[in-house]
Amino acid sequence: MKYKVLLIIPAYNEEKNILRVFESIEGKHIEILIINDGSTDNTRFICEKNHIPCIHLIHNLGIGGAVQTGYRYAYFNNYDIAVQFDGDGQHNIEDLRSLIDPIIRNECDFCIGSRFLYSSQGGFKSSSARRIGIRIISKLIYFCTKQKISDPTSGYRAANRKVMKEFLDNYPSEYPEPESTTYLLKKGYRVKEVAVTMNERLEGRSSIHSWKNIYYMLNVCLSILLTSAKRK
Amino acid sequence: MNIMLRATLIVIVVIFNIIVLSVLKKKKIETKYALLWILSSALLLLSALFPNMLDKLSYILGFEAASNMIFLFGFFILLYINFILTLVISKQRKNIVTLIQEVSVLKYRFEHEVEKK
Repeated sequence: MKYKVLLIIPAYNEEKNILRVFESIEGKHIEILIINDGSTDNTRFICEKNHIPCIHLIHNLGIGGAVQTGYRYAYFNNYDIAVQFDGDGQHNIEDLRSLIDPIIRNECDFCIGSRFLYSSQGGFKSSSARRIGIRIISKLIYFCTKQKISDPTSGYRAANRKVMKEFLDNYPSEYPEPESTTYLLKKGYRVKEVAVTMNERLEGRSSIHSWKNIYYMLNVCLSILLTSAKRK
Repeated sequence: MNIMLRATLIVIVVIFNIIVLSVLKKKKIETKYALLWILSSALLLLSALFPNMLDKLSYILGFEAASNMIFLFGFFILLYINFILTLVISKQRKNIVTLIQEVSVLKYRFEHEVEKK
């Protein structure tokens, strides 16, 4: 059986990265869909000029709303697997196979690409401050769900149809990754992690910058706690 | 209750109701929200028109002055209304997000179909 896989790439003001990301994927027979989240730069122009499949959101929704658009599109167009992939060049397309294989083999419903598994060799591991933050989030998720997620903030994730459907109604808007993973675990979906290699972003700033870090941690921790308290 | 406070309350309620009715007439506000404001200001009007009743009530409840009671209750009512409004806003935001997503996907598919032809 041939699986229909869609690569969802959210992009907000990624004019410097988007073409390079597209070229790294081109010619590998992977369907991609860029979600242009109301960028104010030339992202739209670059996509149209290079005939990159791209949904232009008519209004900026933030990362969660953009990714959710991709899941919505994938679900209603009968894709078997939807994969989130960052538009800033952090992720490597070579890891895609190992990310979707567990879903194809029906070992899990949702597969996260992790930088911190024992088998993740080399690559960019984020700054030390951020690694501490990630470890705290990871511990909190373990405390709430009794499942170890080593890289809960990873944006390189693959979902099967059941998870896509779940995400249509429930996808957080602000810092979606840790909360949505907790939500899936609490609902009893099988979540697995595989080792991937990430790169340091080449251009532009991450959507989470320094002065927002404390707010980010508070927001994420509260969301995880509430999500896991909601249903027992 | 002192006469100045009563007069002020009555004047404010009257002006407020005129404003509410005029925006309602221009259909800038939904009837149910206009009614919410009209009814809650009617409570205020009642208390200004029948101060004795109010004085007795505030005495029974242990307030030092009737005005204290009005302010406290007014505060709670406004708090409640504000909370309800943020609930309404949150629900609307969710609806708007879905709407934006659906419209954007439709636009994408429409442009694609046109390209194919």
